Amino acid sequence: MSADVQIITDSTTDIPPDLAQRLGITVIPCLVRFGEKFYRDGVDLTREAFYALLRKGPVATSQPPIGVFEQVYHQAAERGREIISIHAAGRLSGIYNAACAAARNLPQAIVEVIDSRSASLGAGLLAVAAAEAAQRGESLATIAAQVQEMAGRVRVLAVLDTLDYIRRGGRVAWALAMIGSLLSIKPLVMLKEGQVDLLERPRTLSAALRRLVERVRELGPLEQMWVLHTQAPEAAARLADMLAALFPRERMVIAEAGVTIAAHAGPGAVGVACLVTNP
Amino acid sequence: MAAFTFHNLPTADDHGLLTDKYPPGSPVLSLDGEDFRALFRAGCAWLERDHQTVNALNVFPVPDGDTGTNMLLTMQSALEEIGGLQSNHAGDVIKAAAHGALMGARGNSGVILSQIFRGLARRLEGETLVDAAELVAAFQAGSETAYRGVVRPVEGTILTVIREVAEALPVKATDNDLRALFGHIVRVAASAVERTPTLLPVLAEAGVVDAGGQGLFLILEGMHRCLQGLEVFVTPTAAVEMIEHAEVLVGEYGYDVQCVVLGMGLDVEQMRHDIAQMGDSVLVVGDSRTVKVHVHTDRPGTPLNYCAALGQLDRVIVENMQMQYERFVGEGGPRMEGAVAAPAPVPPAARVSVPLGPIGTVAVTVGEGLESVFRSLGVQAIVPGGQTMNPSTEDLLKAIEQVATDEVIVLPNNKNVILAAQQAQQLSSKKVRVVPSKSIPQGISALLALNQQADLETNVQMMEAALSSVQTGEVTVAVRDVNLGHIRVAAGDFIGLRDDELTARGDNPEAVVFALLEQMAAEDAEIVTLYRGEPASTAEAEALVAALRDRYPEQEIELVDGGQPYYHYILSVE
Repeated sequence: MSADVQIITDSTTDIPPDLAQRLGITVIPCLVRFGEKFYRDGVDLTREAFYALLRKGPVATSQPPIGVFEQVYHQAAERGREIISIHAAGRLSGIYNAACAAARNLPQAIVEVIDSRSASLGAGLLAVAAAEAAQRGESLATIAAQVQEMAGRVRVLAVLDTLDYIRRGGRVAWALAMIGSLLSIKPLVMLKEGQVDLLERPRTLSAALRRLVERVRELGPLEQMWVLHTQAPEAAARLADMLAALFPRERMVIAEAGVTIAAHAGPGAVGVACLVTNP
Repeated sequence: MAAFTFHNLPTADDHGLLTDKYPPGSPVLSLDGEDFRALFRAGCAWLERDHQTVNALNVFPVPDGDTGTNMLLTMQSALEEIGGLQSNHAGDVIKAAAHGALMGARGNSGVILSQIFRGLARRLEGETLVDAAELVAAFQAGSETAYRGVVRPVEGTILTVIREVAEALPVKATDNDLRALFGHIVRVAASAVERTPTLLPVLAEAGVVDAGGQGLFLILEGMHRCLQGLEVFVTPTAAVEMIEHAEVLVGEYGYDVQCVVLGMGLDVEQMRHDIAQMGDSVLVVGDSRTVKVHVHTDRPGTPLNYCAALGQLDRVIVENMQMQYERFVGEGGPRMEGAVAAPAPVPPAARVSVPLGPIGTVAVTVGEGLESVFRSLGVQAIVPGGQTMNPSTEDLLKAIEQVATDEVIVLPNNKNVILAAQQAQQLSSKKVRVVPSKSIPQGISALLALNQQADLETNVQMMEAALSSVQTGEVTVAVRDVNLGHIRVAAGDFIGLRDDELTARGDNPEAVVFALLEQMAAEDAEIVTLYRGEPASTAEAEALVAALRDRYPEQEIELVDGGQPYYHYILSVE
């Protein structure tokens, strides 16, 4: 009998808190900084308070300190757990590196750190699948291999209300280059293998949602579909209705993204995280 | 704006006429390189004398027709090339003219003119002297080349004129006198121009002959006059017929005033604004050191005093348009002597920025706001121009070459720039594709469809498909009366063009915007974008947007500062 596997992730994976709790997933909060003040995502800062601050001025996000990872890993190891730690794409954030550094600092703990090559619920669905496998009692090696394989099949497509936040976030080269877009554009972006690409530039939300659904259709058969949004529950419900032609509506999970993702996507974004059958 | 240059070219007057060399009464059996130089100069000068008249021959009375200017700039570019050539070889001179015209071609008529010269040049390559039979064959080659240069040739245009000339020539091929041959050419061209309205109904509706055809006629007539000498009387021609329709030339103001202001720190926008208060047909272009001014006014002293206060004046021209008109009609044609208008301004060079991916983009636009919009969407090179100033093939080619990528997509954003862009495509060593956008909204739609992850051909397909996803409306002021059957417009009325067709009139720009949106079924659209032009104030535009939001509550209404001249609003309906 192998040891129990503990799934650890960070708050950028946007797993709804009740689901995380039910599956026993430990979520390490990322940090959000307004001016001189730091807040822990989902701990010190409600979404309402966050969006109020976001409207006032610039916000910075940062990875949890390595020490926090070490502490969480240490506690799990103390309880005899082996650890799978799944995080936002290393190409997009420093979280994965911080986790790796923490794992190296704790040679006594058995930690497999996995780069999701995705973000938000794209990484979240991997953590959920891993936790379900852990509950079934599968081994660390089996679960890790399964998550690595699934990571190549995750696609996140989203419609942003504005390019301002992704540009401000400074992590996406094309968004940086599109300075001062003067027209209202609802960029349709796709995150795949750790890279955010601008797919299309529709002018309205309606057109953008239509195109998003069309792009999802082109992905072929899907094993999972999660709808996510940042302060846009109506648009998310509308998108879910439109996607019902492609995936059973009752199996879709609709979730609101946490503040770290919201800081980069901006409010009013809506999207979908999918697990494709044929990458 | 960057600097523009004035061509300083000799006219036929400087050079003498061919009657000195070939006295009247004896036949002209062949022409050498020097003779062709004189002919091209005469053709250019004769067109220059009347290019504003040709400009006025717009089907729709929009205030910025510039076929005459485009053809003139094309001819000037041909002359410049000839000027740099040391050869008395007829074939060499015509080849140089063809190359110059090709590089300087602006607007559709300019491009077609350059194609005519190209055909002539190919046929006459290697000929030291050209006789009548060879010239006839060359005109036929010119006609064929011109037709081949156009994807869908339209009859009732410059193409018809060159074709009819070419077809009529074999009849006279037995006549070996080139002077008689040119006389025949001019008569055929005149009658072809007169009949353009019977071939192209839109000309008949507007009561005009085709502008490009008229421009070609003037060039040929200038050449003919060079062979004949100035004193030779020219039969009343299509020019008279035409000018009766071209009321803008006569207009309500008596004097045509032109000058160049040389100074430091000149504010072109402010000057344009101030001079617009002094009359109509205002053209003020240039940069902080050189500004070209053109205005029709009753008090010629007013603009000249104004300009003199800002800097030194050069090339001052004051013409009494009423007398000019009477003389024109009375004598059956303008005379060669008298003031020769300064050449029209050349748009400034393209401005270039760093590319965002493997595919570079070049867009043609005018107005600071529109330029910023295109830049914000990732365009690397903006070629200034559009409806008002059609950029030349060379301007476009330079912009294409300046972009850092090997693959370049060009957005002409005006139907009158597409041919020049296609010509630039052929001349460029890069992989160039022209996405034939006919308006600013089409250009923006196409640009939004560009995907740097896809290859060039896929992008061209996607971008072409995007052209039809948007409807374009344009609001401006009519510069003359016109009756198009379904719509009757008086000079000074506000008019609306829907996808390049005049479909609306109104007493104010706002009424025209509403009428256009009604026609475009904006209630079924998702977003309406208004690009505010120079003539409309911010307050007017904001009031209009508020009214539109009331009328179209379901639609997104967006206001963008375009800064385009002449057009109060450009509408994009998607």
